[in-house]
Formats: sequence, C-alpha cells, structure tokens
Amino acid sequence: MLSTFTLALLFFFAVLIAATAFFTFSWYQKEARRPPVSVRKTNYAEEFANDLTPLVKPKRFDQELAPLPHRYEQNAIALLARSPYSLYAYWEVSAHMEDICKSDCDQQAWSDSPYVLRFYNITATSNLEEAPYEDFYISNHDDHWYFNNLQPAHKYCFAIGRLLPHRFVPLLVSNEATTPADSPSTIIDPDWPPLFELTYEYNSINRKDMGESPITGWGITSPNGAWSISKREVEKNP
Amino acid sequence: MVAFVLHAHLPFVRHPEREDYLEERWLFEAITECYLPLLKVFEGWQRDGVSARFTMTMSPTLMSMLADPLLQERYSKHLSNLTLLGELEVERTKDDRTFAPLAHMYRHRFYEAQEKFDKHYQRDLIGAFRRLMEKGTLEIIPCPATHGYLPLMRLQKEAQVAQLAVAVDTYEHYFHREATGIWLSECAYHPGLEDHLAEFGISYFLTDAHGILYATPQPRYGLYAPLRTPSGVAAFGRDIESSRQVWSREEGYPGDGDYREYYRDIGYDLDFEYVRPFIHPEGLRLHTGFKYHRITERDSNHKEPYVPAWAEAKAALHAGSFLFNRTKQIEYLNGVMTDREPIIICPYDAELFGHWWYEGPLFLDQIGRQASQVGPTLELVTPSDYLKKHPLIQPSIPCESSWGAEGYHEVWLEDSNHWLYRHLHRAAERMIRLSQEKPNSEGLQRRALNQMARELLLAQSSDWAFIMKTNTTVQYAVNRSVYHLNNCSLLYQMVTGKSPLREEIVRELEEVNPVFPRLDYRLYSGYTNK
Repeated sequence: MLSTFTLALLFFFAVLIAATAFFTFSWYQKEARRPPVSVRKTNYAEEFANDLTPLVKPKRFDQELAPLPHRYEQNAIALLARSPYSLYAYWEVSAHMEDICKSDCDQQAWSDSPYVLRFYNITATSNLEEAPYEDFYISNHDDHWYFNNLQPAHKYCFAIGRLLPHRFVPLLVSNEATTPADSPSTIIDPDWPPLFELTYEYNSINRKDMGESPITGWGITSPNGAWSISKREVEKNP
Repeated sequence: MVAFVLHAHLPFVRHPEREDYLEERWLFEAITECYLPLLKVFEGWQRDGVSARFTMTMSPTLMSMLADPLLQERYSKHLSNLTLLGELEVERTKDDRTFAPLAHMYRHRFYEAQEKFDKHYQRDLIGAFRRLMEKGTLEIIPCPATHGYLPLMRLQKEAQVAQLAVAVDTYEHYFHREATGIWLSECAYHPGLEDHLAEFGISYFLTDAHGILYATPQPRYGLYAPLRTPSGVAAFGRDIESSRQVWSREEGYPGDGDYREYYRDIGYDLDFEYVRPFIHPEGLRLHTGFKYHRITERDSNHKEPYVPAWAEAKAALHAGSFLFNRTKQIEYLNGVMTDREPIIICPYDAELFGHWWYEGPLFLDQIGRQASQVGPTLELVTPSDYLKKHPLIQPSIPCESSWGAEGYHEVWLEDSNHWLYRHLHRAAERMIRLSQEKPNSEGLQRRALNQMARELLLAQSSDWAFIMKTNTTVQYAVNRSVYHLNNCSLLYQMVTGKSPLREEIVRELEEVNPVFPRLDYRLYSGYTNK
C-alpha cells in the first residue's frame, strides 16, 4: 500500500516537473521570437487625462504675428479725401532722397531746417509756383497729417520738404485730391431743369435722422457691430 | 415704383486650423437668422404668386463661404448643437407657462433650419438664391471682391479693377449669368469709378442720397430717377424718407417695444454650468440665439417676456404703414413728375432683417404680400426693371460720397484705422509691379503670385477698418489686416528672389485662405479672362 502511494506521489511530481519544464521552454521560445523593445521617449500627453494636461491646440493665425514695418525705406506720399472739409496725408521720405536733396545745400543750414508740409490750393491753377499755399511745421517723427477746415469741391496737393532760410526744398510732392461737394451743384442742364418741389435742404442733421451708417447708425438697441460679437463680449475678452 | 435692395455681405472668415473662432459664428448666425428666413419669404411669394421683385446683393466673400464645404460642415454641427440646447430648454421651461412656448418655438426653428440646410437645399444656399433669380423673384448683383473701399484705392486703378474683376467673375461662376448692376462697398463712390464699371458691362450702381442730390449738373428729379454717368452707367440714390422709417434712431420700426430684444440671451442670463457646453470653449459667454424678452422700453433695462403673436401683428402693421407712406410719396411725386415715373430706392443691410431685427423677414414678407394688394401705384421692382422701362435718363456726375456716418469717408479713414492705408497701397503697388514684370509666370511662381493677389484682396476688406472705427472686435480686425499684409510681403520676398521660393509655404497659404480659386494675378496688369 505504502509503496503504491509513494509511486503515485513520485509520478505526480514527475508530471508536475515535466509540465513546468514544458511551459517554461515554450515561454522562452516565445520571448525569443519577440522583437527587441524600443526605447522611446514617454509622451505625457498620452499618459495623463486631458483635463490634467490638455492637448496642445493648433496655433491661431495671429499667434506670433510679426508687426508691420514702420518704414519701407522707399519714397511714398499720398493725399486722400475724407470729407468736404478734410484730407488725409501720409508720406515716407527715403534716406537716399534726403541725401540727394541735401547735397545741393549748405549742410549746416540743412540740418537746422525744419520739416514742413506745404499745402497748396490748386483749384484755380495747377502751377505750384502760382498756387496759394499754407505751411505746416511738423516734427521729424510725423508720418501723416489731417488737413482740416477745407473748402468743399476744391482741389489740393501738398509737398513735404525742408524750409531753409530763404527757400523751401521739396522732397516729395503728392497727388492731387479734390474734396467732395457738400451742397447741390450750381450747374443746371437746360435740357433737364430741376423741379423746384424736389430740391430741398439736405445736410448732416437729416443724415443722422435717416440713420447714419449701415448697422452702426441705427440706434435701436445700440448694436455696435454687424454681428453678435457685441461690445459686452469684447470687454470680457479683450 | 419701389425698389428694395438688400445688401448681404460678411468678410471672409474661415479658420480651418481650429473650431473655436468666435468670428465664424458671424456666418452661422447670419445663415440661421437672415439667409434661411429670407429664402423662406421669397419662396413663399413664389408659391403664392406674389409678384414682388427684390434686389439682393451678395458679396463674393459671402458666396465663397456659403460654398465652402468646411464651413458648411461646421454650420451643420453648429445647428446640431442648437437643437440639443433646444431640447434642454424645452425640458427646463416645461413648467413655465411664459417661456415654454418660446423654448418650443426656438427648438422648432433650429430643427427646421437644419432640415432645410442639410436636406432640402443640400447645403447649397447659393443654388437656392439662384433659382429665385431664375424664376424672377430676385435680381442678385455682386459687390467688390472683398468689399474693398474703392475711393481709398483710387491711387492704384489696377487695385480697383481687380476688386471689380474678381467680383464679376465670382458672380458669373455661381449665378451663371452676367451681373447687371453692382453694389459699391459702403455705397462709396468717387467720380471716375463708373469708367471701370462700364468696362465690366455693369449697367447701374447705387449711391447714398447726397451722391445724387449733389450731382453735377443738378438732378432734375431729385432722388426719384437715376442719373446717367459719363460712361453710360446709371446711378440710383437712396431714398431719405423710407430709410428714416427703418433706420431712424427715433422713428425706426425695429425699436418697437413688441419686437424681440436682441441683448437678452440665455447665453448671458442662465447659470454658467448649464450654458457652458453651448458657449465658447474657454468659458466666454455669448449669444446662443435663445432670447425670451421683448424690447419693452427702449431705454430701460426692464424687459417683459416676448410674445411672438404681438410681434408678428406689429410687423404686419409696420409693413402696412411703410407701404401707406410710399403710396402717399408716389402720389405726391406723380403730381410733380408729370413727365416721368418716379422710383424710390430702399437699400438696407440684409443682416438687419432677422439678426438685429428678428421680425425683419416677417416685415419684408408683409411688404411683398400687401404691396400686391395695393395696386399698380406701388409696384415692387428692381433698378434693371426701371432702366428697361425708362432708358432715357439725365446725364450727370454723382457726388463723391458713401453711406457711412457723415456721408463721406471718415468712418474708414480716421485715427483708429489710417495706419492701414500706407501698407495696403504699398502691397498693391508691389502686386501691380510684379504682375507687369512677370506676366508669363508658371508653376510655383504663378501659384505664389495668385496667392499674393488673394492675400492683398483679403487685406483690403473694408470690414477691418470699419470694425476698428466702431470699436467692436478690434484686435481680430487689426490682426487679420496685419496677417494678410505679412503674407503679401512673404510671397513678394519669395517671388522676387529675396528669399527662397518654398512650395510648402505657398501650399499652406492656399489651403488656409482658398478664396477665389479662379483668380489670375495678371488682373493687376489689365488682363481679363473675357
């Protein structure tokens, strides 16, 4: 009896050892077939929940937006009509242009001379020698100007230059610009004489009453822009 | 004769890289609140045999956005979000006898919008408008490509011409016909502009009232007949009386106490956690479109609940009042203008109707329906109809003007926005010069030049200067201007060989700003594809 029990026990252990050996061998074989584990950098965005480490959003179009240049180092000058009473001017005088003009003048007088905008009324004549003008003294840093209190339907131009003791040296001369009319024309076409009943006073007062500009002008519940991004929202998210 | 002109325009706002730009909602809100309701009105007229004809302007930037698959997809998603909010609102207000019907109204409205947009129109709203034009209810005209402010481009005629050429080309592409008239951006006109309009076969444009009243020689019929400019293009003027009735601060219909209040919205009024999924992802509260109050008193913060039936009745009443006044106006004019039929021009921003003035489409609907009952005295026509009937018109040159505050250019050229113009002019000069110097560019260089033209056009949009002046989304407007001008400079540097011409940069810009894919940069040296 005892020897039978011992034999059975031995047999059991033998099966156990054989099974262990078989599975161990199989595991080794399987592991040997696996490709080597690659060493890679841990990506924390994958490791953690989004609310702890939000995914990086794509950049907005205006992120890292470069500012526009202050100067292009090229000559530029323009005169634009704003209203019957106002024109807007901008300019840029290149260093090269300054050097050219300076070379004909006394160097000390040049460096002491102020910058001036010479504003011509060329309604009656386009000859700048004859046209009436007004001078506006400006600083070296000015690059634009509003000419105000002008006459409607008048033609103007301006020059930027240096005012030397006895003469004005223009650096750049602008285009011509005409202020719009602010009243009915005095010219009548005899074939189309105006009907008296249809001519009436029309001025900025009744403009405001008819609603000024698209969207902004109508004062219903004070919309400030064409769309629902209202001022309230802008103030909260400047 | 009365001519209604509805000007539909939005600047090109498309940001494929992210979905959280508030500015894309401008388009989504305009579609839901204006364009779909207007389509419903016009289609209703057609169904019911209403003979009224309206003029609509559609800007090329708006056409491009309406046809853009990415924006269409985002709009559909936006609507799904609103229908979900509608469900929540119906549940939240179920025991509230005042607000529950309003929640139901909005839920129905947004489901209807989604069904119309996705299924009925198959997302093709331009096609829907085109069919209305083909059937005669609408006359649609374009405006300059990116709503560029033409008088402030006058130092570079080529830049003006390019704005017009792209406008006409985009219009023909989507509407399969030539443009009869044009809406000048902000009604901004200066003498000489009509020569370019004539080059493109355009037969009329519109100015503000003083554009006609201060014309030289003086107009015989005041505002009530067009003028023939030296190039043969006709100019119509905005009527003062009818403008006042709609726009006026004191008398304007949209300020009536029964109409819906725009500024009370659950996006601002309700608990933050409740509305959070429906506002900006960063927690910025905004208008959701669920608005439950009426104006009540214009200058008071006290607002009563909105009653749609009252508002609807008031819209019908106001339409009747408007038509009564026009009838009286025409009777008077007929007595004075014995040798010619008068025309009254009533131009408005299309986005007024439905967005700011929620009941605006109802008002317009009633205008069309009631006008057909008034009789022949009051015929709703288009400017083209008038020109066909009255081809002989007075020769005269309109006065330089715009429909902005004070009537000239101060809105778009003042302290907040003047800095823009030197850069715009510089960029246009470069574009013109390159177009002249490199007329035969091919391959990558051609693509870079075409994209440079697109970036210039986008920078020229009058909206940016307008937003800077009105102090709304100023930073966005400034950045958009700078961004497109920088892109112009970058492409200029590459095309002129000052930096390497890199395909990936050109491709990226083409993908991000794909407006006007048919554009040819040679427009800037007088080339036309006609």
